[in-house]
Amino acid sequence: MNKTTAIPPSRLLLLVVGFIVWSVAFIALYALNAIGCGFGWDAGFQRALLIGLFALHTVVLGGFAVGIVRHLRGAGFEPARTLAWAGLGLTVAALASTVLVFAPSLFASMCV
Amino acid sequence: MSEREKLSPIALHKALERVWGSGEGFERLSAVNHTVVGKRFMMTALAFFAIGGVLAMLIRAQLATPDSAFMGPELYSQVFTMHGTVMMFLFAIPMLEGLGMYLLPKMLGARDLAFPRLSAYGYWCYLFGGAIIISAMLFGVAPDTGWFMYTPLSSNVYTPGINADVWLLGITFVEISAITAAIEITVSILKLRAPGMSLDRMPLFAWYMLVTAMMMVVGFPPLILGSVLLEMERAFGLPFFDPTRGGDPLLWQHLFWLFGHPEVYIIFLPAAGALSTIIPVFAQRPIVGYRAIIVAIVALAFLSFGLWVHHMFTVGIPHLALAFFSAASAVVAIPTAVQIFAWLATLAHGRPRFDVPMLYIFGFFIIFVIGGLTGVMIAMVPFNWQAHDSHFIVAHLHYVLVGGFVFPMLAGIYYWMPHVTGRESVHRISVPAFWLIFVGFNLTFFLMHITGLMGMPRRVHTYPSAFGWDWLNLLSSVGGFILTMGFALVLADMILQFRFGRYFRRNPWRARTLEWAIPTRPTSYAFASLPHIEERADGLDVETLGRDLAGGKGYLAFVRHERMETLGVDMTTGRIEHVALLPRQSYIPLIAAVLTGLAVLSMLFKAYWLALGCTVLVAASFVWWSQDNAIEPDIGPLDAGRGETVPPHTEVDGPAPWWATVFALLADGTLFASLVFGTLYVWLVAPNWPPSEIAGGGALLFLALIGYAAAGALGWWIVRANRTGRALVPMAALSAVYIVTIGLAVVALTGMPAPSGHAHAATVFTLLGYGALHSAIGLVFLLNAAIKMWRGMIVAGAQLEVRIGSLWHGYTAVTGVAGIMLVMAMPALIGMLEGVR
Ligand code: HEM
Ligand SMILES: [Cu+2]
Repeated sequence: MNKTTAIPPSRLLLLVVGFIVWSVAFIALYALNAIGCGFGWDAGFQRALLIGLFALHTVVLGGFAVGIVRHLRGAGFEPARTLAWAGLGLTVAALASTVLVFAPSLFASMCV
Repeated sequence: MSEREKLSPIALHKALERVWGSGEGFERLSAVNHTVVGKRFMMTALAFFAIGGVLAMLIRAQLATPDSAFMGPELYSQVFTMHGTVMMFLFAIPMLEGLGMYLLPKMLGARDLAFPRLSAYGYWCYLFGGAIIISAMLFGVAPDTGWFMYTPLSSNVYTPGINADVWLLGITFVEISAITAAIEITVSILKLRAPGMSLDRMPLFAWYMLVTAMMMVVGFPPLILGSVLLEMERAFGLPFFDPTRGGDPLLWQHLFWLFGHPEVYIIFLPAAGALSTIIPVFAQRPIVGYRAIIVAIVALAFLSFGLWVHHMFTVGIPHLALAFFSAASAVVAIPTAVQIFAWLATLAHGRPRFDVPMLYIFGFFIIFVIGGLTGVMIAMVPFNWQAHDSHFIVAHLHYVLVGGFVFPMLAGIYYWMPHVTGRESVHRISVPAFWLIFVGFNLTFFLMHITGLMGMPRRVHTYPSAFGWDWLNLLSSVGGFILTMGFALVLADMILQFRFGRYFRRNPWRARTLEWAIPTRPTSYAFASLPHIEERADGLDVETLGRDLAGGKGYLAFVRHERMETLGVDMTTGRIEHVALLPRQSYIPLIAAVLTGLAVLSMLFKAYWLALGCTVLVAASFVWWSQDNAIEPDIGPLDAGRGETVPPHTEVDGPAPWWATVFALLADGTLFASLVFGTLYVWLVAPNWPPSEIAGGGALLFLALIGYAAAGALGWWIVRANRTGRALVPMAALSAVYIVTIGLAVVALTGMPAPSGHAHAATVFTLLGYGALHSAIGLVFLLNAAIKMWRGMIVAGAQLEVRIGSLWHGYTAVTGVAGIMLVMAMPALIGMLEGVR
């Protein structure tokens, strides 16, 4: 039994951080696109910002995934293990979703 | 703690029943028990399903033949709008809430949900809201602008009567019940489990309900905001959605679908949770991929919030944004597929046993997969442009909703009915009923794919005979009546079981989850004593456990001071943490719901002073409620049985009420974020900007800004000061601050352009009003706490109530400051538009 190890409620955040980053990316890219077109920004500039944001969130998620893999080694007990594994799965899923969903930032036409 | 004398099982049962039982006759109205309220939710939802079904039959009767004179366009519009609205809001959501309420405490090893009186209030709100909407139909003034109520059709220019108001107010009323239920379910799952049930031991159904409830907490507020804004436009002319005055009808679509798409998954996930519970029982092996399913459903929850624009592919949105939403719509199929493969693998690796629930699971697989495939088709933008608003969409949405919700629910009904009734199913008509439903459904809806592709639009009351749609429609209607016969047989089957089913031993399906470890029909207190869980709670030896618990070998095998008690645990590890003292049966929830209903009705009939009066009474009833719930301070550690001694919930950090406040504020925060989104949205995209008059507030707003900042600090100070019992001074100061911020908002608004003139002024009005409303509620919090102090219920060091209050004050401070900063930034933002618009 794991009577001695405390696991604070905040550990549940492991399950959601990945997709929170994904949500932030979603809002940021969508808003950037709307603002850029609303104010008639230069196309090259908008594209560069879009790609920059896309890359930034991808890198952050990659970093989280690596962090959770490290954390996994320390998570020997249940329920810490299940939470860590599920957290890893979700962060990787968020990374994959980020790549799949936001890849159109690289090429799709921006304001029409 | 002194040794208690051990009660015999019968004596224990009698003692618990006396405290937990819900009373007979008139006293039923005071019931707060989760079994009773859960059953009420489900029965009422099924009644609404029947109403929605009758409406569906009317639709199919009308469409059976071309040029039908059965219904005119006005009536037809009311009928399909009501059908969609009733099915989504009055059947599906309440049904899943009821199922969750009924099952969760029993599956998690608790005696009740965290807030029994709140469940009762939620039920009454649902019943009254539903009743208002149905009566409108009887008076011929039902909503008639489609279940998604698009503006400008639903604005008062095009829908002048009260039809649309019925929807906006009635549905918002029902939504209150949905949000209260969601918070209740979230907190109950996280805090009220059997000791030892760590998160990794929780049955999957609880994970599903947890994710669903969280989705409701953040999914419903955008719709509530949208409804409030549209009602303000209709009632007072605030032009949020009127493009001639700087509003934008597309804002409604965004707010609606920001709720509407997640809604589809909110409906699907609990049904999937039922499947994940039932399939392992009939496959006779544990579910395959427990962790993978958790991952899949959390991913699904998030992804489902990133798809809403796929309902708006035809409104003219840049390709880039279309591509995001289209890709997300395709990606969301993956977590759904993961679950389907987990279920198939469970069946493949087990020794499947056949019974009626399995038939419906088979039906679910076929129908839901077809719905998923057409879903991926319409997620593709070019195809969507072709199929938009045709009967293809009607076919798709019913394959998903009926396949993904009704079939699993029928499986669930056949599976859990014996639990509710304590009787065996009679079975003779179950199988024919299934085949009627299955064949009838496919006949009705498969053909709609074809009529849709042939160009038949949805929501038209009739069609000419020239297009070759006639036979398909006739057959589809025949299918509809076969389907209805099937449902009628299911109903008959249920009644037969209630009347003639044989009583049986415990656990007819040889299930391994805790709800079968209690007596069936369920006793009011569920568990005579609470279990200690040592393995995953979907693989328990229910027979032995049930015997032991009935014999009082678990926790809390006694009644103390006529109180209702259950155990609270550490959220993650499930370690025993506190004794939760639950409130007894009460009429207050009913009274509060009646008053809320009166407030809604007075708004419906535009009696706004009356509505204000009722709202004050509602607030008063909540204060009364809270006073009635008050628990005396300094109880100290309590014996929990099995040699454990833990404090009551009022004396620990982070018990259920504290978390409930956190989640309530999360919901409120989503509403505020949606309001900020709406403000910026009309600024950026609506036509007729910049406005001719700009609302600045200057010095007054700056003062209000300081006021809100002070409110946050004072809230924090109250908590500190109460440690030594000197909270009254900061409380008085905070009341003064709140009154001043309200006054400042009122004065600032009188100096501004009229909110009905332009969407800019309307959003400023709403942002400031939001802050003032929160200040007013803050005053109610303070008043309530002051009364408790005076009654000696809050003493020095009793921190729970003041900490909950300070959460509210802190939230009010943050959103107040943010709202005012946005208002103060608006002139500059509008200035930026000058060059480009
Ligand atoms: C009992 C069998 C059912 C039948 C025969 C049926 C039939 C129909 C038909 C023919 C329409 C299209 C009306 C039109 O566009 O002119 C429709 C619309 C709709 N149905 Fe059903 N339905 C059934 C069950 C359900 C269920 C169980 C749900 C949800 C849980 C549901 C939700 C909806 C919704 C949301 C609409 C759209 C309403 C609108 O356009 O505003 N239906 N139904
Ligand atoms: Cu959708």
